Amino acid sequence: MNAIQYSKFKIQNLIIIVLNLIIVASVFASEGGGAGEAHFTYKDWLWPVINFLILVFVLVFFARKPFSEFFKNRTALIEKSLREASEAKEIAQKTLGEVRERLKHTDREIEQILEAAKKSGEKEKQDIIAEGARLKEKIIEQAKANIEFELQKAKDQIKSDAALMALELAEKQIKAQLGREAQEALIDDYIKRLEAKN
Amino acid sequence: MHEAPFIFPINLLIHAGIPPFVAFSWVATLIILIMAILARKSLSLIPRGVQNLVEVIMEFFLDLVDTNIGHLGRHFFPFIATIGIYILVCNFLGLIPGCEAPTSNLNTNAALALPVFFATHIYGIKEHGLGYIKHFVGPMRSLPALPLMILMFIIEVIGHIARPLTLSVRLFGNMVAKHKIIIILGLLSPAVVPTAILGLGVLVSVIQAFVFVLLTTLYLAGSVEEAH
Repeated sequence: MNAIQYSKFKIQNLIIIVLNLIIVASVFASEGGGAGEAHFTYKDWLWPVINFLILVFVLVFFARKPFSEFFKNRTALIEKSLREASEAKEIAQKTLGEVRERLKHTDREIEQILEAAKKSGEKEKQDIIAEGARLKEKIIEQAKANIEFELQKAKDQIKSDAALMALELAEKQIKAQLGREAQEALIDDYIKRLEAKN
Repeated sequence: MHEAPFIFPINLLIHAGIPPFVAFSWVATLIILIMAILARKSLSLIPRGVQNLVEVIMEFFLDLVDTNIGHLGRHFFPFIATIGIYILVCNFLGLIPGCEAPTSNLNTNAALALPVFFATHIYGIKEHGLGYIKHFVGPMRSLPALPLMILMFIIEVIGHIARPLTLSVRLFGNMVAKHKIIIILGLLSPAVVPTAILGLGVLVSVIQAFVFVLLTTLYLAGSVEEAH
């Protein structure tokens, strides 16, 4: 028995129960013999019940289809929304898994990059130290050469200055000591030496 | 032609001295309980049958309170939805032969309108404290406008006292009128003609339940919102 048949069966049962109750109530009321109910007859029940059943029939006839459509559509809409939500959840979970996986890979990649960077940094450090040492040697050598050169230059300068000073001093002394007679005697001596050579 | 006697086993209760409107209010409560149990029994993520119907009704009330009351709407939702469903079931009971709508008795309606009245003012005071009085003195609140404020206060107090009265009498009047028309038409022409009034009765039952609930929502919304 499917759901529709079952609900029809339930409605039929309900109608039978209601009608039975009405009959039982009528019997009870007519047998009760209360002051207000003494004049009561089955006819008093008949039309109200028929009128009510007509109303129920009309309502069911006209409202059943739109109401059932409405409820079906609502159920379908909720079903669709839930299905979409479930699909969206699945997609989100899948994406989350992928992101987590990628993050794991990324962690490994980050570790590799860090390792490589450390190695490269170490190598760079060694190179820089070596280059520094080499540069230091070169600078020291250059400085030594410069010092040597400058020293030599300074020595030469001092020699030249000393020679000039000696010359000036000698010139001054000669000028001071050499009179006219001494000059003439020196010239004569020089001429004699030339004559002797020739 | 007599009005149909009360349906079995309610007539037993009435014979035992229980007033008909009380007996049928128990029936209404029982129907709501059975509906709730049925809806709860077959709860599933995809609603079918009774659950589908109950969800539609609940969504309607949720939308009503969310739209009108705002952030406190969900707090009032159980109160408003209970009143609405109870009135609707009570009204529908009046359409069944051998039954009486509990809402066609002023006592039932007053019992529904008074909690609304008290809830309105209790929550108003709870929300605004002494500032709740601003709701009663009108939009002009200054010393020169004091006479007007006093007048507004008196008018507002009368209006607020009239609220439970109008709520209960409106529902009572509509339900009794529908009932009386059915009886009179039944006397004049018992066959088929009263069916039209029964059909209108379905509409009146729904509309009156909605009006009661809408007014309750608006009263509560007005009491918890800021006074302008």
